[in-house]
Amino acid sequence: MTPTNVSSKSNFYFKSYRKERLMLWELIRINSKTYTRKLISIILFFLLWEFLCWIDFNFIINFVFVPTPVEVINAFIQFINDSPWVHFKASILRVIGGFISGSILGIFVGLLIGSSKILEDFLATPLELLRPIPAVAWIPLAILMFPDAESGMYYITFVGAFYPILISTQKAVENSLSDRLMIRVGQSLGANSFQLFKDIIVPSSLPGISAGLVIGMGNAWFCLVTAEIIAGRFGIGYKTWESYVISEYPPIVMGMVLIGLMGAFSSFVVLKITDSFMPWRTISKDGI
Amino acid sequence: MNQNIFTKTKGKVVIDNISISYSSRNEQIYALKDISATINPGEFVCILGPSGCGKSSLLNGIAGFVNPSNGKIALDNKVINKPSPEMGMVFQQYSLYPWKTVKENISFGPSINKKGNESPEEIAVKFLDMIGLSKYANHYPNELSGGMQQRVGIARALANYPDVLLMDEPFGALDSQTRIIMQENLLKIWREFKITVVFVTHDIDEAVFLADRILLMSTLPGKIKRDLKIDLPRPRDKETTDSKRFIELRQICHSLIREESIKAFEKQNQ
Repeated sequence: MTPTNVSSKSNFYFKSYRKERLMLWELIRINSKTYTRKLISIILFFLLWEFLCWIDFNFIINFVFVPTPVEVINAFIQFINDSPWVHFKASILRVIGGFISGSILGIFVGLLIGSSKILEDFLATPLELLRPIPAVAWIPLAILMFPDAESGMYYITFVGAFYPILISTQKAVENSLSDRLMIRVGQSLGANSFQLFKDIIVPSSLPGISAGLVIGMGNAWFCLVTAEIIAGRFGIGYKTWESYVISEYPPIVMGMVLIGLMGAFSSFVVLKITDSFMPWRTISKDGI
Repeated sequence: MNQNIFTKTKGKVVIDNISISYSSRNEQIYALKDISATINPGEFVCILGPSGCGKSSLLNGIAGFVNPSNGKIALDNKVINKPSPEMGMVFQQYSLYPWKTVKENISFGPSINKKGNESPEEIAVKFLDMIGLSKYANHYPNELSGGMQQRVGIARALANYPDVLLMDEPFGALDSQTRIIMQENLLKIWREFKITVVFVTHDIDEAVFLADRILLMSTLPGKIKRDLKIDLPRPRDKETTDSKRFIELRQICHSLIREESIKAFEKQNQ
């Protein structure tokens, strides 16, 4: 679909080998049809929403109390005019803190238990027992265990990011270890265990680790909102919940939309950053 | 290359009465039984046999990936029990590291072994030039054709300056035109480096064209059925394949292989 496919196919004929780097406007021009369709779909979505509110739709789902898109936008404008940065800053810092500590620890432990049977035996079981515990269930203990609410919230965000990163790193490493040919190549070139790990196992596990990081980022946002609802004083999740408590409905939806947008954006950023670590991949989805 | 003077006396492989067996479903299956052979320094030996005769097992044994259940294999009087950079291995296709560029693939071996006073970078540049792919130094393997990838595979194995080059059906996946060119280039490289080559193939023409000696293998369990000297003059080129002697030698191999293939086929059907 994108022109990169064309160049990857032409490998066959030994011609141009470099993936062509397209300018942004070229990409927009090429994909303009898709963009138009996507834009229309969003407009239709908002129109439908507005319409359902306008007719006070009430069959199974009740739209009577649902604010209309216009009300949500007004709430947003009001929110922006009313010192929003405390909330943004609080939420973003918690997500970044939880995500980064979750990534470092998740990747580190994942690499260890993915490559060593002994460490897996020692570490995997307790980690596996803690894994299914939802973020909400951690809140009371987090309040008791940490010196203040803030560090407790960091912890809950961390838990959300940690597990998907841990599991996908572990599985990616195990998958790389099952590729006997790649390991034999390294051995025959004289690589020792550490060199095999560093130059072969880790790079070939990167796509799996990247998937874990993207999911982990999304999870960090889920868990953040949970944490802020119970224990926060600032933050987008807190703002959303506060609005519900004081029966002000438009900001609720605004908070939801903001969380969705920031979650999607941060996952996108993680995806782009991790992709830049794997420049060797050429992905052609429609040319299978 | 200054190391050539020495490599002429190095690279002797002695296979001493080895058997390699696998246990599969509580049954001991011999891939190879009681094989002995001596491969001299600088010799080009092809191991030829039908599929499933254990020729890859023999090569994996020499490479040190598989340890024989009895007997031993030695390189220059040193028993082989694990892979070592003294033996370069060229695998079947798709064994380049996709996350390393062509140049990084070649310099990987030298960068972890560090012998001599050439930097890994210099070695990579030299070998890229030798295989004629200097232009593709910074490309990734998936941007290269199969033939080019295999040239890089050969360069990568040679970049450690091994005493023996082991090749496991390296041209099996290439089209016949590319294959012939690759064979001619391989002979050139072999002449230049004067290293021992052990080349596994099931292609009779390929074996006769390349080898000084063909070890013809029989199946189940694998044994060396015939040690055939190939007395075709060198350097060999396209005309070699038209000569009377080439056709004769091919004929000999053909009838021996055919017997084995039928035997293997019948055994599998039992």
